[in-house]
Amino acid sequence: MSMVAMVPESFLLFVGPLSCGRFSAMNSFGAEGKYGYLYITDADISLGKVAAETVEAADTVIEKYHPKVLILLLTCNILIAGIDENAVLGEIRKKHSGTIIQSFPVNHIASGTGHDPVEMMFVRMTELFDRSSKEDAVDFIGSSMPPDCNSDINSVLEQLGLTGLHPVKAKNFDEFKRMGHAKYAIVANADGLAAAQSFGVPYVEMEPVYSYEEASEQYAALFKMVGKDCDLAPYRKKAEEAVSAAAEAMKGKTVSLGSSAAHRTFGLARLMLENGMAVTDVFITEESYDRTAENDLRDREWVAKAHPEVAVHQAGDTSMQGSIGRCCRADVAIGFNAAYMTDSTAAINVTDNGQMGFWPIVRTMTRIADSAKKPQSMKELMASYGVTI
Amino acid sequence: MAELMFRLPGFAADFSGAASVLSSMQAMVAMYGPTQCLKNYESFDAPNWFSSPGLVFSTYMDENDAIMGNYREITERIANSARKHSPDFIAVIGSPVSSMTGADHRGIAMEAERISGIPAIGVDTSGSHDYTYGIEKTYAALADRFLLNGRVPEADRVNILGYTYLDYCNGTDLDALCSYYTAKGMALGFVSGRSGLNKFERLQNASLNVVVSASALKFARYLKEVYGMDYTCELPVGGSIPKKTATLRQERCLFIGDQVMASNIRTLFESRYGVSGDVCTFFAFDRDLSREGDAKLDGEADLRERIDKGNYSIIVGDPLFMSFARCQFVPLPQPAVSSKLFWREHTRLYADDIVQHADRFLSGFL
Repeated sequence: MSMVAMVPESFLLFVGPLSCGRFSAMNSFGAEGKYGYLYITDADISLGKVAAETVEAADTVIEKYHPKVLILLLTCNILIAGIDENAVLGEIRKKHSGTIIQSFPVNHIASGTGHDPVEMMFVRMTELFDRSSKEDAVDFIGSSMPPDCNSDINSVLEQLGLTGLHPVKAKNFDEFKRMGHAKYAIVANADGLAAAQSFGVPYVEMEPVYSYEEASEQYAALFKMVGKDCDLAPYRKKAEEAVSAAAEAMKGKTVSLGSSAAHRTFGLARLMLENGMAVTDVFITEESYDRTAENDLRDREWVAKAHPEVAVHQAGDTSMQGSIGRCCRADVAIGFNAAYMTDSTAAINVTDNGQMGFWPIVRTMTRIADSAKKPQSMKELMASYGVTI
Repeated sequence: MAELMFRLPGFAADFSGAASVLSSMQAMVAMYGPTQCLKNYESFDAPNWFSSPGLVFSTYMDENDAIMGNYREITERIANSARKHSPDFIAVIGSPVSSMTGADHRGIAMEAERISGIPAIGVDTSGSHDYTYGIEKTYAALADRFLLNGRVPEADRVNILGYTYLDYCNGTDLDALCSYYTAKGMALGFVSGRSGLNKFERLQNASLNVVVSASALKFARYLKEVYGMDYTCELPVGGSIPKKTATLRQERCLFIGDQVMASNIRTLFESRYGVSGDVCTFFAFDRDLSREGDAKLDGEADLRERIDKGNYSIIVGDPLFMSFARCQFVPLPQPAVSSKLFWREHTRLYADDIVQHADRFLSGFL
C-alpha cells in the first residue's frame, strides 16, 4: 500500500476482507482523505455483491474527497472469486469521467509468478504515465525510495545530462505522469522489472551490490545504454574509504549478519570478510539454504569455500522458533533478524532500499562504523524508531 | 453487508481470535493461507509476539495450492512441523483464500493427526469476520474434540473463559482475576490465556465459569446447557476501592468496547459516579446481556450517528474512537481495535487503577 500511496493526489480504496485491511489500515493510520476501506464479507462474495458495492463505495469516495486519481486495491479472495475488474472500472469511469480510475491487484498467493502484488503495482503505476513525449530523463523503477541525495548515481546522471525521476519526488499527479517522458529506466529492484519491460524504454538493472567490480559493471551497462560515460574513480575511492573505516570500527568484534540488512546477504558478508571483519553467522529468510536468491549464489559459494566457519541459519525454518535470542553469540548483530535471533548486545539497522552503484557500500559501511561508536541494543534501537514492542 | 471505513482501522479478524486462543494453549497453529495472513496476525494482533511468539505458522499458500489443492503436500508439511515442535495439539485455521477455495480445514487437521499422531482440530475462519467470531468457533472446535465425557463436579473451582490479548493488553488483569477468586477460597480450573489442554479437557468439572469477554459467552451457555454449569459475566472491575452508591445523574455515558467488559465498567460508573448510559460494541453482542439503548454498531458511520444523536457527556472506549467524540473521553485501549498503538497506556480493570484512571478524567467534570 505504501508503494501505491506514492501516486500523488490519489485516493486508495482497499476492497477486501477485514483481516487484510487491518494490516494496511494500521500501517497508514492517521492519513484520512488518502485511504478508505471497503470490508467485504463471505456473504458479499457468495451473493455476488462485491462489484456493485465497490462501485457504490467509489461513488462515496469521489463525492466526499474529490481525488484526482482513485486507485482500487483488490485482494486475493476477491480476485479468486472472479470479480470482473474491467467491468467495475468501466462502470466507475462512466459515472466519474473527471477522475482517473486504476486498479491494483493485491494478490498475495501470486508470489513468485511474476504477478505478485509489488510487481503488479509497478506495472499498473507505469500505465498511469503520460507517454506523449520524451525528454533526457531516467525513471527509477522498483523501489519505494529514490536514491539518497548524496548517492553517486545522482552525480553520474547529472554528468550524463539526465534527470532522475522517482514517484516520491513528484509533487503532484502531473509531475508523476511526467515519468512517462523518460527515455530510459533504471530497475532498482527486481520487483520493477516487469514494469520496466511493459513501459517499453531501454533499461538497466541496478539492484544494490556490495562489490566494487559489480558496481562498476552496473555503470558500464548504464553508459552503454545512454551512449555516454564519466569517471567513476572518485566514487569507488569513497566506497573504499567507507569500508576501511567500518573495518577499523569493527576490529576485534564478531558479527552476525541478517538478510533484513542487505539486498544480497552473502554479497555483504563477502565484502566484510574480504576486508577483515569477523562475520561468524549469517541469517537468511529463505526457508532453505538451497533457495538463496540467484544473484547471491556466487557470493554464497565464495563464503562457503573461503570461510567454512561461517554458520548459515535459515530464519524461515519453523524450528528456529525455539532459538530466538540464543541462536548464536556475536558481539554485533547487523539487521533486525540477526538481532532478534542472537544474543548480541549491539544491533545495527541497515537498509539499502533503492540504492545502487557504489552507494550501498558507502551507506552500509558508514552506518556500521557510526553505530559501532554508539552501540544500542535491539530494544533501544527499536525504541529510537518509536516502535512499540 | 460490506462496511466502508475512512477513519478507523479494520478490527482484529476471526483468524486472529482463533490463533490468540490456541497459541496460549500451546497448540501449533497452521494458518492455511498466504504468508501475508500470518503477517497480519503477528504484526498487529499478537501484541506479545516479540517476547513469546508462539507456534503460529503459515502454510505459505501460493497460486498452485489455491488452484490444485495440494492438500497432501500441505498436510505433510503441517505434520512435519508438528513433529519438530511436539505441541500438545495442532490447529488448522482458515484464511480468506482457503475459505474461498473451499478448503476442508477439519479434514486437513484429521489427516495431519493421522500422519503425526498428534491430536488436531480444524477451525473454519475466513478473515472476513471479527475476532470474537473466531474465538467462538475455536471454543466450539476445542469442546467438540477435547472435552472428556461426564462431569465430576468440584465445588469452589472456577474457570476463566475468554481472556485473550485482543481484549486485554497484557496478563496483569488475568493475574488480578486469579488472585480475586483464589482470595475467595476458590481453586482455579481452566484459565484462558494460560492453561493448556490438560485443564481444558476437564473444565466441565468446575462449579463456575467466569466470562471475561463476550466472545466466550456462547461457550459458557453451551457448558450450561450440556453440563449444567453456572456462569457469570459480573466481573470485579475496580478492585478493592469501595464503591459509593451514588444517585444517578442526568449525564449520559457511552461505553464502547467488548460487551461484557463495557457492561461491567458501566456498573462501576453507576455506583461510583452516579452516571449511566449505553453500551455499544462492534463485536459479539448478546441481547440478553444488554439493556435498552445498548447496541451492536454496524460500522464507522453507525458510531458517528450514535454519538451525534446520543447527547452523551462522557464516552469511554479505545483512544481511536476519541476523534468521534465531542465530549469528555475516557481512553481504555483495546488491542483488537488499536493493536499496540496505546498498549503502554493500558489501565488494569480488576485493580484500583481503573478507578484512579476514571477519577482523573472525570474529576473536573462531575
